[in-house]
Amino acid sequence: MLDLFAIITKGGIVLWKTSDSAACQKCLQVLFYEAFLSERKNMETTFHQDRFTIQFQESIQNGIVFAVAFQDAKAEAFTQSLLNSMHNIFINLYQEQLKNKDFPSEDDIIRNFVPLYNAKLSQLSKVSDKENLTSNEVNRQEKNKALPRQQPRQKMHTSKQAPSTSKKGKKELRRWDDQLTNEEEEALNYSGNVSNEVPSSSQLSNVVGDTNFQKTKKGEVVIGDLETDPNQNSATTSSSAFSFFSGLIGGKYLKEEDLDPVLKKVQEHIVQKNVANSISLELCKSVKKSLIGKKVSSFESVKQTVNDAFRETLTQILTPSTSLDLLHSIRAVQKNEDRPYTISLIGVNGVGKSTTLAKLAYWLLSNNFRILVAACDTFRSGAIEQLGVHVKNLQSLKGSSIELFAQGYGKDSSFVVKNAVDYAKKNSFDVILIDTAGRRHNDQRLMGSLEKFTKATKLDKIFQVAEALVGTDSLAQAKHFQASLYHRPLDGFIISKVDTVGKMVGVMVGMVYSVRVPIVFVGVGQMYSDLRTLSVDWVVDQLIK
Amino acid sequence: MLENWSAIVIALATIPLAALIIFSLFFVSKKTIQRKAPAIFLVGPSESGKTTLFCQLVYEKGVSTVPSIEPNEALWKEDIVLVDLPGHARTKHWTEKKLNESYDVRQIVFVLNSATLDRDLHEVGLALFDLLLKCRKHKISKVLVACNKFDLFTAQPAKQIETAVKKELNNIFEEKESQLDSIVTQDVDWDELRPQLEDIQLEFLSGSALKGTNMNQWIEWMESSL
Repeated sequence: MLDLFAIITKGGIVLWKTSDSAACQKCLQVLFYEAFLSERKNMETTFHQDRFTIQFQESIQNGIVFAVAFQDAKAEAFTQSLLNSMHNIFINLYQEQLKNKDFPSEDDIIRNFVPLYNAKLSQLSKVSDKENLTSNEVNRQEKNKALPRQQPRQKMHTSKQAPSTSKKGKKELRRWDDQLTNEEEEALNYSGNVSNEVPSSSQLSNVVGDTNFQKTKKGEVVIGDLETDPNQNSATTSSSAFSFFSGLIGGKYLKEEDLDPVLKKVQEHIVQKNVANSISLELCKSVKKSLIGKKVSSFESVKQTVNDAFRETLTQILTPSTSLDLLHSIRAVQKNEDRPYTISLIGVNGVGKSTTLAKLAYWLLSNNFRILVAACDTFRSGAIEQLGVHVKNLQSLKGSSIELFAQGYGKDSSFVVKNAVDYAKKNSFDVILIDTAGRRHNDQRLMGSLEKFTKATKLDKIFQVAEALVGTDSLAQAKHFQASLYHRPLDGFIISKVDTVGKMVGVMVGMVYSVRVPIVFVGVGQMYSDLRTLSVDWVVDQLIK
Repeated sequence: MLENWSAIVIALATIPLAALIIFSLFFVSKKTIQRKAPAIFLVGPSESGKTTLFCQLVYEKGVSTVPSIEPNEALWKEDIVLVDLPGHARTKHWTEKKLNESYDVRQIVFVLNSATLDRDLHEVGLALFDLLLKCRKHKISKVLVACNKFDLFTAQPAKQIETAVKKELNNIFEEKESQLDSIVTQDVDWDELRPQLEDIQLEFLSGSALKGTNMNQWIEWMESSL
């Protein structure tokens, strides 16, 4: 029933697995990618690959992952308890070795662990087989009960039909009070067929389940303990006299009560830095999950550990997983395909799209590209003239390899962009920078026209411009813009007006976390040179300090 | 009276002094445990075979692996610590962390997949570039580029890889010069940085970590530089 059971270290070494097939190896790879390395910091423990379902459990203290993969849906019933018990058994068997960060060899595992695993597996599969059999029998019993039920229903139908047939004769008086006729009462009586037969043993076992009773020496029957959660720390609680020392000094395992007050403080701190409340709660949850049961090294307080964990989480969130080398992509397109590179800027009203476009143009001109600025903001009065002023400035600064392409106001922007691409191709421009109209992200009509715009021509990069001053609306903005581009993801965020917010740069975290799109550039002023790339360390510093 | 006073003062003084001595001993003993151990780091892009190489060197057998999330550390040849760093982009923070820890990094081995180099050349170049920056920071003067998986059909020979990678590094240098500054100006002067980075020696040697072939070349290089 179970296709694969594997024990893997977090360092990537497979300690033992039950199957060597390529499909199972693929399952393990998918598991590690999705659970630990993917863009989404997943809280779930179930993944799918082809027809396999993959579940896992972590031992955070020891850095080991236990994984199962199965195709058979029936196996799902016992995989969780199998994972739990195998986890416990493994930790107990190799406690000493694991404390020294030493992993048991494969022969050792085959000798000691595998017989226990086989025993537990057969026990659990027998139980689930029995359950399947009893559930089949119960189904049959239910079917038997269903038949006598149908007869009173039919009676009810006939009683309803009765007045209609007698309409031809005399009209039966309609009764408007709440009393039922005898016929209706009988029809509604479902308590028929009360048999006095003794319930069979299979039915009983359905109700009783796995007994957890243990017998004491005197022969009394006591209820067994709850199966302990393997990730719960096994540290003994110190006496109250020295507990505040241990709070300072560390060298113990972290418990929830230790983490909660510290996490709350850090959460409030980052909310003050303009991180959205929902995002801060999610961050706290994931940091808590990764810290529970972890050993704090001595001379380090709980606060320090939590701060470090937060730093790590924020760094992981903000670090893009692919390199955003714009120059390299432009040169690659230039070399391999004979067409101009299109970059489009979208965003809500007033965030700084036209200004950012001018900054990008200034930078690309410094790299000797020929730029065409396409004015696809055909709505706002003065948009084209604004771009015209920028283009004139850049021409006097950097020479004439920049031009403005505009077709007036009121036109459809997808139409304008198509013409712009044709014009650029004809006149061998390297890059087209496309300015769009600002639009409220909750205006369906405008978001729809944005969708049409992005489908009109092949856009190499679509960047959303957002200002650092915005509050929780940033999340909704990011989500709605991402959703309207469902056929291709957003390529990046450009956060503008960062010089106005000082330390309160939390909006960056919220936007990246909610839609998993990296931040490409950061705008720090209104002049052409005020464009920077993101330094993750700097942002994390601003947030944590 | 005076002798009593001085005796009392001396007695009072010895208590904090004794405490200071005990505390500093404790601290020093902690420090000596954390004395810098000589180490060799295995770095490189994802799926290049670092963890497999690590297991071959430390346990002397091939194991099946999955993408690493955390580093592997073990003692090799009695007194050197071998550190296998995960290669995925999301695990980059481990590299900085381990480099700043109490290791005396003697050498770095950059492992790459010879069979998929055509497809991943730019990524490999960027990873090698990042590594060179770190080498300069930690004063490491040569790097072994282990061209792994050379038993596979599409693997390129070491010489070919060397020319391709060096050319890509050049391109990256040119591009970095024309990039924007980061929001934190890092006082990086590319003109003087580039020759320093180019000075770092790169030795390209082929081998297969899984099959164990040609590994003695790599081991020789590692031992020779110690």
